[in-house]
Amino acid sequence: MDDVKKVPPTEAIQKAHDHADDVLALARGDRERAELADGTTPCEGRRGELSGTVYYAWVGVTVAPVPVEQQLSTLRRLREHWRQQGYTIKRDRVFPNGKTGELAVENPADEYKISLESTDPPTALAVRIASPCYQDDDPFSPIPPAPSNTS
Amino acid sequence: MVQAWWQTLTPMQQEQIIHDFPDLVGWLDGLPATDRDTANRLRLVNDLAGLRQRAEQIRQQIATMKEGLGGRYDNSRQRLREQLASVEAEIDRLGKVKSTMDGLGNKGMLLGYDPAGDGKVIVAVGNPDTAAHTAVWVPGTNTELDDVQGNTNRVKELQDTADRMTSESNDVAAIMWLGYDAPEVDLSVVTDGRSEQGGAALDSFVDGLNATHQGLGNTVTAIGHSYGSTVVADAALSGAGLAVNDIVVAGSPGMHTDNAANLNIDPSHVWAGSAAGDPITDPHRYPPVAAGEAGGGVGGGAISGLASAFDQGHGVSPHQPEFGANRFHVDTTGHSDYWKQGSESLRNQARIVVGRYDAVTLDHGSPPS
Repeated sequence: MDDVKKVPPTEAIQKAHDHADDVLALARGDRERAELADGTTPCEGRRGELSGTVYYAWVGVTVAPVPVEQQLSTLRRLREHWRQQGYTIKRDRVFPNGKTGELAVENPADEYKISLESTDPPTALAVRIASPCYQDDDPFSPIPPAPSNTS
Repeated sequence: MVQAWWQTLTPMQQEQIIHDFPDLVGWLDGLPATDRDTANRLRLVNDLAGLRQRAEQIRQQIATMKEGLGGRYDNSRQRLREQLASVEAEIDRLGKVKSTMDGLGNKGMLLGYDPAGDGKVIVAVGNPDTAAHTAVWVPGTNTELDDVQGNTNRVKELQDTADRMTSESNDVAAIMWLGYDAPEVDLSVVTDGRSEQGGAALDSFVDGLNATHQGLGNTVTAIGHSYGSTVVADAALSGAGLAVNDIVVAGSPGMHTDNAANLNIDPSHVWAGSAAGDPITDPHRYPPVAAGEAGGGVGGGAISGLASAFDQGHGVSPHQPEFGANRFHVDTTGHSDYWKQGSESLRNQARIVVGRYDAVTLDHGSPPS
């Protein structure tokens, strides 16, 4: 992991929150119901070991309400928006029930990954944003809550 | 039985027993999670306080010895410095557990803590006694108490991923279960002793979860990684089996049986993941070619032999079609990326935890209908 960029976790998490804001706005989610959570998780070393200094930041956010009849159309709309923005579409799937699905994209500019999936029952979309791996001397100590852009 | 006994006690009696015997109460399967958490946190606080007191005593001794002494006391002073370094290292080590719990806030529960030897620790994200779905994640080789922060963070993300897949908040708990002495990179990793001990402990722990759960309709999923999968296997193969709804294994060298049907669970509820380039699940196809190229926290030239012995010592790899389990799709590489950010592998495991079987992407298998 010699070539991993050094970025403090607060900065990586803030950027993930910025992406979360964008998703909420695009999907017209209710900010009061976003239930934001964030954290840092170790990246794996070449030998499969959990790194003590290389991490990725993540943010979880719920986009609600998304009634069942709007699940697929919302995912389609987001997919088209990101496709036009030059994002890489990693996964785009309708579940066997034909009414819900998932979408995963990656921003080529900052390599952040965004994934969305219909909840069960289908009342909302579960969203995850994850950064690429970054390096920091102590990425796993408790991090102060990010400024509340979405509360 | 433990639960029944505990319920006969008054709250004051329970509090007294926790106070007097936190090291015992903290490991009693069948006690409510909140009481285990209280006991283990108390033990951790006591241990850290004791160590800090000891460190201060040694510092004072060193300071006293410095006053007006000549070179012949150097050896004694040096020994004290070494003792101090050892105590401070232990404070750092236990401090990782405290820091982990601080980071989880009121979502964290310390369900097991024992600093002896390599250490054992069980950390829950969410309350398994009230959650509708609980995942119990069993780590593999070389995992020690020192690794609590990174492993718990991984489990925290699994919990959050799964929790958001349901319409209710906080109805998923995920537990990082290091309730056994994980093997080192030596013969202990290719033999069954540690997994048998671990299997028995895991079985008891899961029975305890089911005994203390409040309400009906909860599900429990055991997730074993690498050698952790053999622990899950040994628990499932023994007696009446492991009291879980689903068994998930990732990076498994084998489950001590050649067929999922022998695990005392409906095979449609057994799920295995194997990543491209994982030398533990398929050492013949992906032989570790050089030191530092293998996964599972091991390194060096011993990998080739260990991986092969690992495979032969633990049975048919469960991701193989002939094993009869579902193989969930893994889009990551290597031995330890099964929970990688943004991966389908992580999402598939979260889907299994909350029972969204229809959404799991499979390479082969017959999921529950």
